[in-house]
Parts: sequence; structure tokens; C-alpha cells
Amino acid sequence: MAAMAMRLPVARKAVRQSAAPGGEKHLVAPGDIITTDTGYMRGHGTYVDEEKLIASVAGAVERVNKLVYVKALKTRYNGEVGDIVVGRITEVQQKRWKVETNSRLDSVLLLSSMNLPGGELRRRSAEDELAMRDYLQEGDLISAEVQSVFSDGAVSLHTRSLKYGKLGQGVLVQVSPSLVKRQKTHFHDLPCGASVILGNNGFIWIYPTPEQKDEEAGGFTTNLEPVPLSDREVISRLRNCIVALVTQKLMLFDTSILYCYEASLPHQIKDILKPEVMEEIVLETRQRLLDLEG
Amino acid sequence: MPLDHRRLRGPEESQPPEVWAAAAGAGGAAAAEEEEAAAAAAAEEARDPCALRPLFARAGLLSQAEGSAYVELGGGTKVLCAAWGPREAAAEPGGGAAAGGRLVCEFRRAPFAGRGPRAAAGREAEREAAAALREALEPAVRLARYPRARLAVSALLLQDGGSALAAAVSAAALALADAGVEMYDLAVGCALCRPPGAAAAWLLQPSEPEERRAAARLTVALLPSLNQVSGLLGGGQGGPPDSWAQALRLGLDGCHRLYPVLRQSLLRAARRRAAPSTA
Repeated sequence: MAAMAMRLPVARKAVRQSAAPGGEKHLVAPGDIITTDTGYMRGHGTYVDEEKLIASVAGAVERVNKLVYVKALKTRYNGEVGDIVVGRITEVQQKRWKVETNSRLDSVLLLSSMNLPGGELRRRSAEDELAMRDYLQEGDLISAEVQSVFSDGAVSLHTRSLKYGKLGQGVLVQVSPSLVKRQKTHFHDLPCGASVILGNNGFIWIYPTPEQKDEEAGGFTTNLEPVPLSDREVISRLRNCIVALVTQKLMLFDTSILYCYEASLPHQIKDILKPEVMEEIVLETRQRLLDLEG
Repeated sequence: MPLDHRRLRGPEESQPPEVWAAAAGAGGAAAAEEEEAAAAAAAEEARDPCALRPLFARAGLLSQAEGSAYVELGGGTKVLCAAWGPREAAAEPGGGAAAGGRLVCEFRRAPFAGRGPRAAAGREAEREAAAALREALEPAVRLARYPRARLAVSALLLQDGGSALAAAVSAAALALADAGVEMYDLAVGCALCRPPGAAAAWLLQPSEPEERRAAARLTVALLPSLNQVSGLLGGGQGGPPDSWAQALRLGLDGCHRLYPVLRQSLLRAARRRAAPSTA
């Protein structure tokens, strides 16, 4: 019998951040009156009752010029036009797929918004409808962009570009949508040897960098060749780094993930998940990010 | 000496169970019952009808549910509640006109919740309690913000020490708020009961023996900031109608007094969620 390492849970002191931004956050519970001043515009998480602005979620009150809103600590993804999302197909319906994207309602991917293999542009016929399952089945992961938002909040996706489509081999990490920073591009090829897609809905996809960019594929052919061990190690390390950043509530973007990866190199991959190692790595990452800004 | 695998070897030290037996259980004789009734009657005269039992509430303790809350009342009522945020609801026929989401409530008693064997009508009582829970929570949740969505709440009664439904209402409201669901206000529940007798007064937050012997019971759910009653469930022989009105007023007062504790526990959970976790 091999020896196993055992760890007992111990109450640990919370590490206080050295740079405390702003002052104490104004936390409210549903039903609390935020203000009675009518000069403010009300945002998410509030409602008006008899000229009083009352909170409807538990969270911190944020004020931006004239806008007052309550930032709930647990949110679903609210789609906005132009966001990149990573989603999983849950249903194949007539002329569309239902995609789960960690939002209140399932997102919709219409057959007409999907790229056909080969990138051809033509009217979708009845044969295409019958062959829908050949393109995407239940359980497949796709990357797509938000085309429009319906009135009830459901999101309509499209994959009308060769960089979107079905995802092949890789690792999915699900985080809270508020931790993904909005940037110009969400597809990153990290210099450490893997690529990452930071979905705005909190789904992060880490995959091995494809050697050559196939232009004709259109994102349908999944590469099922075995991934070499070195690539797998890089991907596992990245995944653990992302988990570490998420537990310490750091915003996720390509620079922070890269710095965290470099800070974690002295440790073994499985050691990164230990709380004390996590704190150490994230502290170093935070330091480097502050140096970068200032 | 070869080990004897056919027999279960007990612990080296063993003590008789009477040392640990607290009150009379199912095996208690009638003498124990009488004694308990006498003691309770004596204690009741000294009991203040408006006294609230100490309440402990904690939100955000389950990692697998989106929102969760645990409420414990002083006499041993323990309720654990979990809530799940909006999910796509299966399209129901003819439900297009009803804009707004649906709230699905479930109330379960653990098999070890009460003393003695479970009553045969357990399933019915659970369903009635779930319906009452839904009725009490629906006015508090902003269902219009979640069209075609389904919110699920599940309450588990771990130990019944009286006022179980009231504790479940408070726990369910806390769990929904912890899950990030938009609500108008937190719903607070309070229970009352009236012991048999002509001139008996209504008691706030009865304990289990009081509830068992009561002639009339009432559970009231209130939205404190908006001062609106969201749920009312009661029955029995309560005496003249004025006494019911008085009981309602007593219940509302109890709810108002309980609200700060629940609100504080919610804010504490929010603070814990906002701070970076260490594990």
C-alpha cells in the first residue's frame, strides 16, 4: 500500500489585503432603503417604492455619478451584444440549439447563425435541419458571440466567424462572470504553450495551441490527436492557477493568468491547490500587477 | 490466538444508556409523561407569552447550493434551507400569458426530526407546509424579473422543537436572498399557539410540548420593511374573533423583533462572500 499524504483542516487567519481600495463597503439586504433622494437614476438590484429607493438583492451599493445600483455578489451572466461566451449544448430543437451559458435562461443558437462547414454561405435547407445533430450534439462545447438579447433576457448567439465553433480537447473552468475582465479580445495564445478563451459568462476554456491555423475548417473538425504530456502539464498548471486566482477574487485577464503561471513554476502542479501556496502565488501576482500599473 | 470474526466485539469501556437518557423517550412510562406535563404546566405559568426564543441564523453555508440558510430557535428547532437561482422552466402549455417566473417550494421533515414514531399523515403535512411556504414567499420575490424561469427552494427540518414552519419561512427567505434572487423584502415568520382553556392567552413561538397540547395554532409571515403580511396559516379553537386579531398583532410584533437578527446574518454572509477566501 502506497503512503498517502493527509491534511487536516485548520482554521486559518484571513489574509488582509494591504491596499484596501476605498472605505468600508455599504452592504444592504433586500428591503433596505438606500436613499430617499430622487435625483438618482436607479440601476440593477433596486426598485422604487413611494419615492424611496430600496435594494432588492443582498450586495454592496455602488455609485457612479448619478447612477445608483446594488452589485449582487452572486450573479448570473447577463448577456450583452458583442460578448464572447463559451457554452454547452443542452437541447437540439427545430432550427436551433439551446445553449447553457450560466445565465438565467438558456441561450439560443439559430441554425441560420451557424457557420456551415467549409464556410459556405447559402440558405439553410430542410436537409440542414435534419443534419443539425451532425454539427452539434447535446453536450458539445462551443465558443460563440452574442448577436442580440431578447426582451426577456435570453441571449441569441452566432458563430459567424472562423474563430468560433465547436471546441475540441481542453479543460473547462467555471467561475463567476464578474471576475472576467472585459477586454478587446478574449482569445489568447499564452507564451507558456497553451491557449485560453476567457468567456464573458465565466466559462474559461484552456486548450493546446493548434500548430497551424486551418482556414477551411470553420471550427467543426475537432482535433482528436493525443495531446503530448508537456502540453497537458501546462494546461493543468494553468487550470490550477485560475482556480487560485478565483478563490482570491482577482480579476482574470491574460496578464494576470500569465503572472500567476510564472509565480507558480517553483511549485508542483498539485501543490498549487493548497491554501497557503495559493495565497503566496496570488500575493506575488498582485504585486507584479501593481508594479505594472504604477 | 486467532481472532474471532463471528462476533462483534464491543468497546472496552461501556456505560449503561440511562446515564445519557435526558427526557422520557418513546419507551418512557406514563409516569414520565405525567411528570413532564406537571413540569411544563408549572413552567408555563412562569412563561412570558411575548418572550421570543433566542434565534441563530447563518446564511451561505452550503457550497453546493447557490443560496443556503440555517435557522435555529432556542428550544431546539433546526431548519436548513437551500435555494437555487433562476433556471429555464420547461414550457408549460398556456403559460405564456402568465409572465414572470415560478417559485417551487419543498418542505421535508427528517426522519429523526420528532420524538417517537412519525405520524402516518406525514406526507400530507409536508405538502401543506410546502404550499404555505410558497404562499408566504411569493409576494417577497420579484418574479416579474425572471420570465420563464424557475426558482427552487428546499427546506429540511432537522429537529422539531415547535414553530417549525415559521423558522422555515425565515430560512427560505434568507436562502433566496443569499442566492442573489431579487426580492422586495425578507420574509420573517413567527408562530403562535393558544393552550386549551377558556381564558388562555396566546403564546409566541411555542415549544414542542406547548404546540402539541395547543387548542389553536397560527403561523404568520411578514415583510417587515414594507409592513405587509405575506402568509397566514392557522386553525383550531381560538376563542372569540378578537383574540385572533390580538394574536395576529402579537405575531407581527414578534416578526419585527426578529428581523434585525436575520438581516444581520445576511449582511455577514455577504461580507464573507465578498472577502477573498483562504480555502
